[in-house]
Amino acid sequence: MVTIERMWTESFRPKTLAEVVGQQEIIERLKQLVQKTDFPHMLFSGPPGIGKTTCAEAIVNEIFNPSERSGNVKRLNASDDRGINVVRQDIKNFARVLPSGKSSFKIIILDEADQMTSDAQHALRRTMETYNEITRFILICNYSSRIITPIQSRCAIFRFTSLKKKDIIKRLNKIAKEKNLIIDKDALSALFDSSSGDMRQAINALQAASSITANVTAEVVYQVQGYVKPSEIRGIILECIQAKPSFNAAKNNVRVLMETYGISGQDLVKYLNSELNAMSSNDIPDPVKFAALSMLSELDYRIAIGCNPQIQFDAFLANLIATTQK
Amino acid sequence: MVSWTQKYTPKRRSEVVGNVESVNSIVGYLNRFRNPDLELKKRALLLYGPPGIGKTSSVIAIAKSLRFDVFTVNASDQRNKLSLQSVKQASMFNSLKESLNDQIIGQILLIDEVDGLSGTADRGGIREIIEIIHETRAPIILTANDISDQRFNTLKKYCELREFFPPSPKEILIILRRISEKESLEVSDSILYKLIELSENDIRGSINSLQTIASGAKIITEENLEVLSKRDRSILFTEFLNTLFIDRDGNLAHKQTKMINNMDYSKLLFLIRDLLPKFINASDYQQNANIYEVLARADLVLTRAQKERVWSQLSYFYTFLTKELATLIPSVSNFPTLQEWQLQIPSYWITLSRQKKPTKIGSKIGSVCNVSTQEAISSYFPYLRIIFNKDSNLAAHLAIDFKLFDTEPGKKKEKIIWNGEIDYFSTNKTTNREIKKKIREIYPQIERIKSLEVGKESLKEIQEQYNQAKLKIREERRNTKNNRKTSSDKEKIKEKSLKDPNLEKKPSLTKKVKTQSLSDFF
Repeated sequence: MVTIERMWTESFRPKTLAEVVGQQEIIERLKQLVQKTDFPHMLFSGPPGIGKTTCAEAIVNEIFNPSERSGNVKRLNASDDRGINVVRQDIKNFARVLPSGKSSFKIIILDEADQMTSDAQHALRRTMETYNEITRFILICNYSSRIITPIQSRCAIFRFTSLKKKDIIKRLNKIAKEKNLIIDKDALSALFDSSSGDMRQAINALQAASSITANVTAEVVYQVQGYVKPSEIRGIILECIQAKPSFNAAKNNVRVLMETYGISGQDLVKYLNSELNAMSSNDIPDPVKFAALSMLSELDYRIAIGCNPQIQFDAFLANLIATTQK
Repeated sequence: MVSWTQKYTPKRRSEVVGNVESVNSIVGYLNRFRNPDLELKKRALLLYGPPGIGKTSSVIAIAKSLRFDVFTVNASDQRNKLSLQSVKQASMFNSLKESLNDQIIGQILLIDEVDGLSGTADRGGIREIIEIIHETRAPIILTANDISDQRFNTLKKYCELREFFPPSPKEILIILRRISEKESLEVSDSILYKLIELSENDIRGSINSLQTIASGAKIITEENLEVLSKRDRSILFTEFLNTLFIDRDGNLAHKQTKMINNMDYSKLLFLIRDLLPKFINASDYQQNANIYEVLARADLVLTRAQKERVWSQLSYFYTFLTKELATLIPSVSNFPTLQEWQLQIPSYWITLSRQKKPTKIGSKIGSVCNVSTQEAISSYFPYLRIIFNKDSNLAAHLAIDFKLFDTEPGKKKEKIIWNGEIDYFSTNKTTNREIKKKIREIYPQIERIKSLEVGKESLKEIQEQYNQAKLKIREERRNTKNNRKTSSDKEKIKEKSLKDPNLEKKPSLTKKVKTQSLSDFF
């Protein structure tokens, strides 16, 4: 008989609110709402990997028994299509049918709601109001500012914050224990540092480390992080600021990162930002560093409004080279 | 002077050249529309294909042959909701026409160049056309060049679609020969063929060209043709590049941008980006920064125009790319040799196509792990790359969970087909082989376990439902018992009161009688 292995982020996902670590105040309030078995529409916002989706699923688990769950809960993942047609048809059709079983309402979970177009959000607003009696929405997003205000005003907003070190370590310890890993304090610290408060990253890093050895030390964690951040990212900056800079080499690094690693322009800007911040004044002269960051902010903005990442990166690299060579 | 395209437009069905099937379909459609016994699935006919190949003239020729009158609305008319309502009225008058003129048996409504409907000026146009299609009593034929735009999707549902293809040069030659004979022109076949080639197999275009060059002379030579070709043709991309990079004439390049064949905004931008390295001086860092900044700014204004719909930004796009760029490019003596594909396919398109694989894998992982594709790429891919090169057992399990391969039903069990998605993460050859071996070994077992679990779950569910139903029935029984009890009590009382109606009333009655009698007495 084989035991099925899965991503630990899934197999160790808390099933109840009590199991969720961190976010104490929010969890307390949610528990009260669940006990009353009634709640308003809710909006969970906050950075990735801190338990928003998990809390929504836990609420579903606590409110409905298994037989009621399938008929009364609809999940729309970020990977699903959630254009205006889906809102007008699928969601509306689900929202207006009476709940099955003993339940007095149904739940719709909309993950990454801030990625929906504002047209689709406007279409949602009417459905939320009309079928308020029988359907509750849980909207999940990274930035509540990207949710149109009419929807925000219809929801109880819960702002999730980045997880604290002790919370992440507590969880990692539990997983390590169940998976028979040996892990020391330094390794746990290193895992937390590299995750920047994102439980998903931390657990994935632990699982990746465990695939190398069952004895996870700080060394192993660093080794994982070395693989995780392709050397091309720092390479981009180094190519630009060296004595004989190579625009073409830097440009090629950008292309490789996008093509073979599938990294989006926006993520690449994010990586470059943290990379630049981590570099000391020995690596890069301060004036160049801050000039680079200021150019990066412009690049970030342009890509965010929909400009072409490669053409914008070209200008960033050429400008960075010109600034360094002045 | 009468234009030859009108003068020699086909007058009978037999004069129509090419597209036999589509032309026949017009006749078929008209028959079906007029004959109530035949089934008419779609109430309108939509003919589409490149310009000048006989869509409109076929309709008119056939209409004449079959003695129909044609009511035409074309792009020169305004076709918004209001103006189309007059057309709607016309579509109702089919029968009136019939009675007025014995020669004409009916009317065809021809809406020409549907794709020329402007989004703003002809607002509501398409919806109104659909309404006309619903209500019309006259057959409706529409023509269009390009119906690929999604705003025609609904319209297409209501129409029978027929594509017109450009006729072969030979077929067009027959027409041109006939015309030149009637106009007594002296012209060789080879010149006519060139003429046809220049007009890109457009019948109308080649007839127009023939008339243009014949206006001066009765004998046509190769030289006449040259005048025409210079005036008519659009410019090639290389010509534009020459103006921009070699002559560095920004003003001329600016004019030429609109004449380049087969070019749109972003394609032009990407192609210039690809070609720049061949023209710039790599060691002049400041100059390069300025040049790439121009491109980035052109991209920025294009984005503002397209995403935020600030269309006035577009005019800056060409100004930056031509006038400003020309002042920055260093002079180059000769044009570098370029491959044909370098002028056709921007490298960014290649990047986009290569990104498809990570995006596809990302969406698979995202749906299993409840995250978006982008989040899967940034927070799962890096770690999966390690796992898929270090731990073949775990990798095999994950590959099955994410389904990073295809399956097709085989004779005994499902056949596994590798689609390169495992190779995307697993670059180490030995590990790669181990992972695949492991998957072949455990995939059937895991499938069995899963189906068992599904069975268990549904069993649980059924049991639970059964229990609930049982409880419900028990409760109902108890309720009905109670009901019977209470109702029987009431009935008993009723019976009692029926048996002895005086039981309750008697005392009062007797009292009354008593009092009455007493009062009587007194």
